Amino acid sequence: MKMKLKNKYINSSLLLVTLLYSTACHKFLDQNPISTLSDQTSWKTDADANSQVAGCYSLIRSAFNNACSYYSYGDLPTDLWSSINTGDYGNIYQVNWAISIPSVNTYDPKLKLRLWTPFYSSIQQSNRCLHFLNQMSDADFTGSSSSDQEARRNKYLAEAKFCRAFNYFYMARVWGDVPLDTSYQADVSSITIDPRVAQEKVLQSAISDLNWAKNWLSYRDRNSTDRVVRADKGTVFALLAHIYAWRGSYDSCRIACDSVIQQGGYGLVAGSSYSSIYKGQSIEGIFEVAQNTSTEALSAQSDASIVRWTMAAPYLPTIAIPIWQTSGNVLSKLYSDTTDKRYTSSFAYVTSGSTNYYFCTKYSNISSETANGVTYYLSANNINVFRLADIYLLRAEANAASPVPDYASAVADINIVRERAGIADLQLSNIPGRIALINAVTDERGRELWLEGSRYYDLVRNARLTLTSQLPYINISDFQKGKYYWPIDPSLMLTNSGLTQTPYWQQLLEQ
Amino acid sequence: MHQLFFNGKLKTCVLLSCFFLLYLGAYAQKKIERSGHVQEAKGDPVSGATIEDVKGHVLGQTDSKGNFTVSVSDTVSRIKVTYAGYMALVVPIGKLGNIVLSQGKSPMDEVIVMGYGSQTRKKVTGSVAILDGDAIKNTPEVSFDAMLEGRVAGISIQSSSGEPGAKSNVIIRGTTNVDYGNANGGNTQPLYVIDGVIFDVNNIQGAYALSNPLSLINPNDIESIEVLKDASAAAIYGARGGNGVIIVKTRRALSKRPLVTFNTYAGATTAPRLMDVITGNAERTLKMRLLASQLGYTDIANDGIPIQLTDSLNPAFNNDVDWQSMLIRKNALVNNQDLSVSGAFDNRNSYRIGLNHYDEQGAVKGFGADRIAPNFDLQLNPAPKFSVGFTLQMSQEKRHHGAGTNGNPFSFTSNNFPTSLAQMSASTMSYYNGTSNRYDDNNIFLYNGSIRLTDSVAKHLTVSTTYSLNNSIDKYAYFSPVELNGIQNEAFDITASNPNWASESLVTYYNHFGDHTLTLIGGFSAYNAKQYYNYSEAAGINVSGIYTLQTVAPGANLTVNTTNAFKNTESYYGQVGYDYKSKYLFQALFRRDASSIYSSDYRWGTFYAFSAGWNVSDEDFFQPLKKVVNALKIRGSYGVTGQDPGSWYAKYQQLYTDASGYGSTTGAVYGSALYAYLGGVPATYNGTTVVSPYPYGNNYSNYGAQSSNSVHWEKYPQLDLGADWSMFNSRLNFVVDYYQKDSKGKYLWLIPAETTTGYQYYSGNYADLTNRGVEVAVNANVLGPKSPFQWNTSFNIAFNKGWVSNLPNGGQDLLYGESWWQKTLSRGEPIFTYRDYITKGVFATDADVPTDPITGKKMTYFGTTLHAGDSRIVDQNGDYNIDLNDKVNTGKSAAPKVTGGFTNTFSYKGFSLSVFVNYSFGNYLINGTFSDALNGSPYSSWGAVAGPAGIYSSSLSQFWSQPGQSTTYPRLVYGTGSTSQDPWNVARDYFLSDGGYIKIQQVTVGYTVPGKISSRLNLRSLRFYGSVNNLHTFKRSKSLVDPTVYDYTTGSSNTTYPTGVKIIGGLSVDL
Repeated sequence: MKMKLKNKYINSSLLLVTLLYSTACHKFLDQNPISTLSDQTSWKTDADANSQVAGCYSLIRSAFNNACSYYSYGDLPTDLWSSINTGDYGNIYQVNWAISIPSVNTYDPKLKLRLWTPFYSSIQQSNRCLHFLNQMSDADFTGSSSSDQEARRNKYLAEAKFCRAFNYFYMARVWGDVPLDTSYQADVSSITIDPRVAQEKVLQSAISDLNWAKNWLSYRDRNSTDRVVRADKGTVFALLAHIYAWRGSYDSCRIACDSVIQQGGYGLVAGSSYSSIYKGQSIEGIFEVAQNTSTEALSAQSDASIVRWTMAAPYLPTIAIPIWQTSGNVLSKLYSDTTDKRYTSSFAYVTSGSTNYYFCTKYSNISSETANGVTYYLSANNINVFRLADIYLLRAEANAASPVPDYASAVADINIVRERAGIADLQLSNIPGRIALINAVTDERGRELWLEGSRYYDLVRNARLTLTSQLPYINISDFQKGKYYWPIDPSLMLTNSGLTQTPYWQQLLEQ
Repeated sequence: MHQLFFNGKLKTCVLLSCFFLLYLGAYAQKKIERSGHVQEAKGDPVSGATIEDVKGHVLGQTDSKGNFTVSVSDTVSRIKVTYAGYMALVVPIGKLGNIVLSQGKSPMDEVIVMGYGSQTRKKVTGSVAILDGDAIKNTPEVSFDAMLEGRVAGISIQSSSGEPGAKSNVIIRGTTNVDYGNANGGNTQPLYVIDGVIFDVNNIQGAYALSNPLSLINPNDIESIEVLKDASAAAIYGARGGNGVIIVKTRRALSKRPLVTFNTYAGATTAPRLMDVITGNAERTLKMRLLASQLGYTDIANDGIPIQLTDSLNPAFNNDVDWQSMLIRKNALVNNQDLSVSGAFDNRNSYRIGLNHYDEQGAVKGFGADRIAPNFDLQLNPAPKFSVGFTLQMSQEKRHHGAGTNGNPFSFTSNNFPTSLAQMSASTMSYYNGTSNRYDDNNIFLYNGSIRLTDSVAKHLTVSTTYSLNNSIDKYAYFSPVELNGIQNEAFDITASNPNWASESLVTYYNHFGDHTLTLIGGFSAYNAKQYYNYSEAAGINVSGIYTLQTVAPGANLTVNTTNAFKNTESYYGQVGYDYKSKYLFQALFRRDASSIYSSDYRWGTFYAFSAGWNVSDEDFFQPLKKVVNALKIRGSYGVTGQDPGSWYAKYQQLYTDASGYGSTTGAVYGSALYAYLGGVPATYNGTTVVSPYPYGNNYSNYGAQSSNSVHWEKYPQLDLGADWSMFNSRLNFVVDYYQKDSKGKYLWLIPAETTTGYQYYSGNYADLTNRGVEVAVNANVLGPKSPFQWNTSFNIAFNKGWVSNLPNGGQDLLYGESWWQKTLSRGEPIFTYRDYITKGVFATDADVPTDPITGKKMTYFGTTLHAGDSRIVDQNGDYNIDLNDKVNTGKSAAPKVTGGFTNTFSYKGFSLSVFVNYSFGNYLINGTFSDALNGSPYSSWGAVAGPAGIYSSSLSQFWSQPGQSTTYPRLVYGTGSTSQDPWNVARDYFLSDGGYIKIQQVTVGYTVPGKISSRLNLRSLRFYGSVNNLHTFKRSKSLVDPTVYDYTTGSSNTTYPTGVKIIGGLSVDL
């Protein structure tokens, strides 16, 4: 009895309060990640923008180190070597690029170098930046006025476009025609066809990116910590100059070189301090890939590092004799003047028995870490892509390549570089004609840019102009069939049914 | 209440709708009141027994004194009394005075918890298996999941380690896990519901990889475990029921009179399953014979034979050390104590307080688990028809993980054991076996608490609300000395905390209309899960007496990483149950779930199930058969459950601050003494932090996976057809089910993307799977209820066939794992089949090696010419070179096709004997032990340590040793000038072994002291018991050390921690 029945009412009302709350409580179901970075929660500040743009460069760095790729593409299949004492790279040196490799052998450099995958990651990072940077509001960017903020955004956009243009140019030099993607892709699951596009169109796209970029970048700021390793206006012109030279538009090339030389704010380092160029960020540097601090360095003992392949004790005590062996013949042919500071400052040798092994010491900025009694070596050298001497010599090439060469200007540019190296001027009188002038430029580039990822393309342009191949494993007949463009790996076709093999390699690499 | 669960962001949400229920009032009806009393055999009143009429209409329940009063119409002549764990009894209306229930079960009368309600087995239309807690009581394991194997048809338990308390992988009706290595979070375990509270172990990550949150529950406290297998049973849990549901009920107060129970057992682990080794002189003789017969003259002349073998007179090399057994505790002890007090007060409130202590020493030195677990349950009825329940389970565990943690070169793996001829100083040895005072502290605190309010607001209407909280706080701190890891002193400190809360509110309407019974349930639930994870590590501690991260300056040697993640879900559900005379049964379920994992367009998922049952034996036409078949039910269900992707942030495009690439380093030295390297992940470009979706992967690849903004619920449509029948007055009972479970839109995390997209992979709901199978469970009371000698036998078997039914990218195979050790998702095949080289013995002679007719060259292996004694690998593509292209899908996987168990229990008076056997067949495992041991023993490494003790000794005759021999395995010894062809690579089919086994899991004997004697001792009951666990395993493959333990991801059976035989003895006292 007692209060028994009354309780019913109390209990009922007590419990009824609990029930449902609304489906309108969307916030309950919106849980943004706070420990995981995402596009949806990022792109809010200038620093976010900067980090994403830095990603474009970092991915270029990754592409260039993948199989020591910058040097494997740019120096390995050339006359710099007498022998390559490792089978995989030996085949690359000998242009045996069609050896069948299972796609799962991801470690094989012969496979890695046929894959353009890392370059496209950088390109898509640019596309992502262009998309998301434009979604940000002006106020997200640093600057005291909206025009400053707009300029800031445009600077980042310009850098993203530079990186994209650079990647396309680099790939065009390696593969010729490549797929061209210039937009952000919100959903990649349905992409199964992306055919190769004519190289000319790819290069046009790059040029158009650069023409936009140059409007929003300033010339070299010598106080910037990012000088040289990120694009400025001079970098854009240097890249334009190289693109024009590659496609044979030498008039445009010369004009671009002029802009770099006259307005870029660069200078040649003294002949006594060549080595400062290779550590990075010298006054001469125009574009370098940053990797010279200990927290961003390469392990010198890694396959990724040019140090591992080309250097030896005492610089790299773990290796007695260089693995990629410098050609003594070409060395003595190019540096016939042994007082050349480029020769004296950049080469050393080890002796084994009665043989001297020469090796290039440009990348000798090596530091070490010791743990548990074992020493490990770090290579802390930037990858030098463009530098002022290169642009002088490119302008010389432009002047030489013209159907009516400007001999005087070409020789003048060559001599600027020679004088810095402490060797005698080239005399106009010693140059019998256009081909000789072109070869003189190529030789000078060889001396200046030895093992700087340039020789292979220099020899390709030389062969186009002179119709003579100096490439040791590509004769002029094969050259004209396009052997100098790399094949693509057949595994790329597994996910992209629109691809065709590089013409020369079509019969040789089928899978 | 309110404040509790409308916390945080929820506070900002307004209660937009309230559910108003009218007070209907109890309408009086003129009926006859009947009273009675229900008690058990020993005289204790049975509280909470259900009184129903013979048509199944519930009339009332007994109170805490066992008394009941029900009003029935004149026409009713008999009532039925049911209570969980007891035989139902039909009593004439005139004999209600003292009803005595006896223990035991008629299968049809089992009460089954179905989501938010409960039913007798007879009315259940879904596929539900129930396991009595007594069946697994006093099994010497930390947690109950390890005890389920073979107990319930269709549930398969995998374990990856014999370590005490290691978590296991529970699979119901075939695996659906396509997340290789659970790299994207897994989410593969069934949903556990403990005393009505969601305890989702998928949301709980530990600080130690094998931490098991289910150790919260003292297995001896479990009253029953139900496994909901089909969609109609699990769909009420909607999106969370996809992996099946396991409902755990813990024990409650049984009677009003205070009951004190004390139970204890103690025992030891012995005879761990070790690899066969030969040691000492036998090892020396064997190796010398091998070397002498197979090394060339040059090697022998140039002292190519390791000094450990040749210098037998040197005391340093003249030992006989069995490294394996040095790491093994001779007798690892296990002991357990349970104390519980339960009873009632004020006639209507009951309580139960329990305390458990469990302590197990690991079979491997330095390992162990020690738990103290108090629990508390209180049921209050402050007013009639209004009850409040409070349950709290807690567990405090201390665990040790020995020396095998960080870079220890002598962890318990076969390739790590040095030759038995060498010796190690006592002090170094103490590090390896964990007996030094090395700091190793893993502390786990678990709790699970809930408050339940139930109000019968009207005669047919009940409202209830549950609020629950649980957490697993796992702290793992240890010190790895330089003596162990070979580089430097390192300290680790890892904390994982996973607080969850859930709130459930539901309304139940239950009524009869003549022969019709109708149940309506509607409810709402909200759930919040959090994962807090802190990892810190310091290297280079150079001060004595410091075992934590102190003294290491911030920088490369101090690593800290913090991850916090959150997931919320919200659900509405409704259920309609209808039956006509308990003969025709029908049920429909509907549930809507929303999860914060998905973007707003995709977050709501709809799940449903329909089921129907027909108690054929209730039909008139069946009556002639009833003497033989006393009950027969046919049932069927179809419905859709679901599953989340493992990642809580799947819709977000994940970005990384990863600026690394091939060969990059931050200049820090990593690795172990055996393999040190420059490591670290650069995060900057020229000092600027880099952000992109393309983190560096391996060689040229990145691990960038494009997320899918349209990621949505995985849906699992499932059909189940079943029959339950009982024969000979329920002495022989069968439950048979056929099912087909599809998994549609499984979330795949790493699907190869077209390469110009920049991404290596993309993710999304792209794969479909199917599992199809038959389950049979038979229970027989062989000798009949009247026999003094009782023999109960129960047998279950489940056949499952699972395959991949759809894949993205036009159905191309997806490959996972290292290039040299791959598994495949391939349409029409089981998930994650092994991709192997197929071998046909060895080349007996050089002449046997085929010659390429075009080039005239001998067949090669990765370009190196093959010789006599090398494996004859099938050249699949006919290019006369064996390389990775010559691997094929074997179609074999680690998932068993047949699993089950067989229990026989004999009892006579107070004595009982029970033998439990479980088995598993149809799967294949990689013999990782063998492969690792061989990889650890090429001639080249004998030079340094003279190789591991010869674990391959028993199969020595199967290795090629001289020209002309046809053997299974290639040559063991390669001298200078001959090149090893990577013969011990695990991806060769000779390492693939049949994983089938039958295991005598448990033999238990018990003796209950007769009541006369125990009551003289003032005890209610006294029982002695003993058991032998993991007694023996009959293996299909002789060479696998223990096929019951393997890595779920790789399928490699490689003993990293052996299992052993556990023998215990104990006693149980009721006061």
